[in-house]
Amino acid sequence: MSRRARFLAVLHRRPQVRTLLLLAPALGWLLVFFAVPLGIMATYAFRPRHILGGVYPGWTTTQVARLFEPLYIAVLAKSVVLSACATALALLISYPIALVIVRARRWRALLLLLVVLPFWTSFLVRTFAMIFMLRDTGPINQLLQFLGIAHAPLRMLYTPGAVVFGLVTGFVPFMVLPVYSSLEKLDPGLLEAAEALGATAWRRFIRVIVPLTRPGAIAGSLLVFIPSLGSFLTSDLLGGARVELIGNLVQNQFTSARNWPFGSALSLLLLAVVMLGVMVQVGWPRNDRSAGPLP
Amino acid sequence: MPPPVLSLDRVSRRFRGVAAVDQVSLDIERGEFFSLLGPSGCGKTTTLRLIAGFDEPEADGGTIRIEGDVVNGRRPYQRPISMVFQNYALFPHLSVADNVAFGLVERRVGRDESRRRVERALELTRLDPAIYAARHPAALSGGERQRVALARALVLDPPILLLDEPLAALDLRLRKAMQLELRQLNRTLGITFILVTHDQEEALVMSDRVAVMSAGRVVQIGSPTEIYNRPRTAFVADFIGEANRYRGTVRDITDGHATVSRDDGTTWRIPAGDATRVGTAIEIVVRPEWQEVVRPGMAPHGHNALAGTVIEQIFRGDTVHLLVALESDGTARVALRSPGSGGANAEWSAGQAVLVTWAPPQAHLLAP
Repeated sequence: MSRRARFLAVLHRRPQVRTLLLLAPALGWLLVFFAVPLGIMATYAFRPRHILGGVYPGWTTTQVARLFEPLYIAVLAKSVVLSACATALALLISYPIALVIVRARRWRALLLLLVVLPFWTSFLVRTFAMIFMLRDTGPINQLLQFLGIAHAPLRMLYTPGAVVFGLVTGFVPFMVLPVYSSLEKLDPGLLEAAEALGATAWRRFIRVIVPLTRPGAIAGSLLVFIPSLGSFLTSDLLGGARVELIGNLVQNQFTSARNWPFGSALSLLLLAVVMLGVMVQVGWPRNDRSAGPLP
Repeated sequence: MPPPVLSLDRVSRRFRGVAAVDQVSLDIERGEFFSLLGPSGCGKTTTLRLIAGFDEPEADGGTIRIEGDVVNGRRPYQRPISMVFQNYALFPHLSVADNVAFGLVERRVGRDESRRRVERALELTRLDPAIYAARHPAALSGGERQRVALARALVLDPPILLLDEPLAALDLRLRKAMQLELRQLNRTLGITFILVTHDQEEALVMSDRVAVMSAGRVVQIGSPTEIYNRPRTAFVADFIGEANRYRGTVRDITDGHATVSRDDGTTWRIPAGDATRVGTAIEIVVRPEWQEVVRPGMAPHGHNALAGTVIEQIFRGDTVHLLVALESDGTARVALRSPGSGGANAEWSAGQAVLVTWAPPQAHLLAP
């Protein structure tokens, strides 16, 4: 038997070997570029700081202890609140968009293309475009003054609102797509059944559409919440120096502050918060399923 | 006299210029079990959706009245109807009890009353609330889902219950049982049932009246016996059960009987209709079980007869169908009683020359 035939025979007899071989490239990649750096980062958080960046050998909890200073807790809280606002807004915007796309039989492909169109330009360019739109002398302020709604330029740029706005515009396609995909799978017959049972459009949305598209909404919420929480570019450009999020803090530690251990510690904290968020959101539908028997 | 519970007056619906429902008029009385029967694409489902309000007639496409009120333009949730859907459309995220209570919640029925009505509806459809209330639709069999869908519609106590091919997905045994059960519910509850089906047997078994539809039009409305024994057109005759259709020309009419001659020279006598005229071409329907098969020359006195050759014997359990190639043209189908375990039905074999006979009254004259 040739070597090749023997190899194929092994693959045929042992499906586990086949699975492992198929997974090998992805696992290798994750190991080298994700697991190992993550491990290094976790150890760096407990090493003494080198003043020029990097770390000294040895162990210390100095930097990790700083995480519990009120200043950093406040930054973290603000980051969570702004990201949650951005996620909630994105969710509110996405349902109408996704509903329109699902119902537009002929234009569906075009509308989906429009949803992902922003990805054709860089995130940086889009954020700069928002600076242009939101600034005191920008088109929005000019229009508001022209219409007599505002008498002086409204301060929009460099506010928390601008950061949320930037996060929502940047990440809303990540919400629209999963919500659309679960809406598309929804059996239209269920909506007709609800209508025949007396439910108006709004009641059908609340009682049928929302519960049955929950997996899409959860997936979309994670896809918006997680990058929002770690973002630093949006808050940097649209929030100016006034709105510092945990992402900016991490970035600063590795660049200007040259405090790698503290940057690593902050990253670990961010990771913990994200994992907590994921567990809460993914765990929530399962509890709901086993809810009480009678109305 | 109260108005019909449902009345359609020249209702039409076109899709891209093609009439799916064409000038349909119906009056359905309270408590009736009424069926819309026809092949797929005949407009029966569109008619049901127009009644439910999921679709609207043309701007000048007639009026739909429920209990005397014009309901054109009203949404389904504004119409006093309930509906059972073909695939049941149960809410997968809700328990059986919550599914059944769905419409009660929309009607703001109180908690205690709601619970009571849900239990009663489940019992009505023979689902033990203690066993089924907490289950989810995914954990139910097809027949159980069917019952939940029925309970969900009946719990609202609607004047009209619409059923869109409700039994199509069930196996034969269950379907037969449910047919009788639905009929029982119709009798005991006094709710008007309107059923859409393509299954002629189902329509015959369950209905008080049947509307046979074809190409968007109602071809015939009548009791099951009427549409089976006296089909108005060849389409109805062929669609309901099996039918032999024979053509001929009227030669003479005496004492309400017409003498009809065939191209091959044979003549028969049939009961003459009011519109029967000497010299016109006519077509009659003779059901397989109205006929008999005899040896050549053995036709009973006064019976009509057609000569032919046996092609095949088809065993159907309760009956045996004999296919006979007629000497003139076409094939006749004759139903014989099944011989039973005692005797093999060896009397007729393929290739044998026979006469297909029937008594003159056992024929229905199709409208010209």
